Amino acid sequence: MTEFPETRSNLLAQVRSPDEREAWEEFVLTYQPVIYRMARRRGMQDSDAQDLVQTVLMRVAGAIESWEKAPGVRFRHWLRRVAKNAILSAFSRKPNDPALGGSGIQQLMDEQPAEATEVEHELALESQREQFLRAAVMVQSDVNAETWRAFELTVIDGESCESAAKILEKSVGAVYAARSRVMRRLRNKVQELGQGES
Amino acid sequence: MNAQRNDCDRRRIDAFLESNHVALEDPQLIEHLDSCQSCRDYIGSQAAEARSWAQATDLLKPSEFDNAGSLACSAVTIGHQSSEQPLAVRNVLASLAPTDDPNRLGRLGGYEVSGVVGVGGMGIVPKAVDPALDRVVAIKVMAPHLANNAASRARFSREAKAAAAVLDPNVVPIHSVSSDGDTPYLVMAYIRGGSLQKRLQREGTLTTVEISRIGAQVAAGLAAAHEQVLVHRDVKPENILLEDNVERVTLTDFGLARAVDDASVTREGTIAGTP
Repeated sequence: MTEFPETRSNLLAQVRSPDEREAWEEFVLTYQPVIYRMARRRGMQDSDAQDLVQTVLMRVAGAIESWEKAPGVRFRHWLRRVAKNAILSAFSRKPNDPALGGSGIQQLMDEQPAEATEVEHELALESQREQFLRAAVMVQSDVNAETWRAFELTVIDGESCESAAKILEKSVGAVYAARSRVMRRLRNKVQELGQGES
Repeated sequence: MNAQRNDCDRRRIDAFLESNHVALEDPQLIEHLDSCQSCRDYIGSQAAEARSWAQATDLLKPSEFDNAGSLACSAVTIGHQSSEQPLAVRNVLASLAPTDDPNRLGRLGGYEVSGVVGVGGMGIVPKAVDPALDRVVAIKVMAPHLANNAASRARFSREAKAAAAVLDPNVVPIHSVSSDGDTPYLVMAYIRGGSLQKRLQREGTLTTVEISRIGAQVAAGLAAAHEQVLVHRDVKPENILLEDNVERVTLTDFGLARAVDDASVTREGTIAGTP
């Protein structure tokens, strides 16, 4: 079972203004599972992966203290940049040696770990996956179960529209209509989620 | 199926896609889509770019870590605590066979499921009744999307074998196992009461007497496992069950247990266990 109890209260104390708090919550929501998946892919077990999530988030949270409001730099963007560096440096090391220790913000910004581009690519992909997954949860709760199922069967599970129609006992046309409608909403939601970050 | 009567109408498709009323249906359009390939292509391309369709397929496909890493996890994080059931629970409940008893959620094998008592990394634990013997059992069900994964299945059946091999008053007895169906599951005795974790949260520090009592029984349970050459590897308050009104402590969840001679379980140098 995965929950991340530490992140909730302790780390938030660093973030003061409501705007920043919202950005931080959004950030944690997206990055927690992203870091977790990257860790698991490297052979870490559930508990180790969660530890690493904590370590990286703590590190980013620690850096927040040194954030000063500069004109033209939004907290959200700043946060993403720091997080990216923290994640890249955590994953460019051996899994058994996660980035720890009192590194200052400057070090965090300057670090250019080896093989960064590969990890960078993975990070971008995982962040995008998280956006799709979150959008999917929202869209799923918006549409009725059969409509969602038509999308799930054909787009995610790889069934043909014809066999999905048989499974759902609907016409093939209804499957095409339902899955397209879900796709449209999903794409819109993903764009919406992405806007906060670009 | 009559394309003549029901001509291609692209604007109608656009309106259908843009409609915010999810309930809005367009039976004529749907009938038209039953037969018209060009409109099928059109509605698909208008819904989203080919790239988005491909991304949806790639990114939404469940991966091995999904239980904790994505949908289910997204729902339990900061500020967005959802009352919705985690994905794993919904998946498992959706896979149950229908039951005749209105007080039950469904049927799994011969068992009448009445509720969910736990959610874990590998799946969920429904509470159920065994109608043949009229006893309450806890069933550990593997999440359906993990059931497709060979490594997960192997791990699950290893747990079943490990735990079933141990007969001891301080280890939760395993009644039966089904690991070849669509939904592998493991039937255990249902222990009325809560875990040590819950008790600690509720009551705080235990007395020295309690600590020794629980400690001694956990040790006895582990000793019994060790006699079967099994190492539990995940002993923690959540896996220590305290029976109501009886001073008996039982050890559960051999999910990480391994036979001492089985070196294939985890990578060298990593720490097993769950927090």
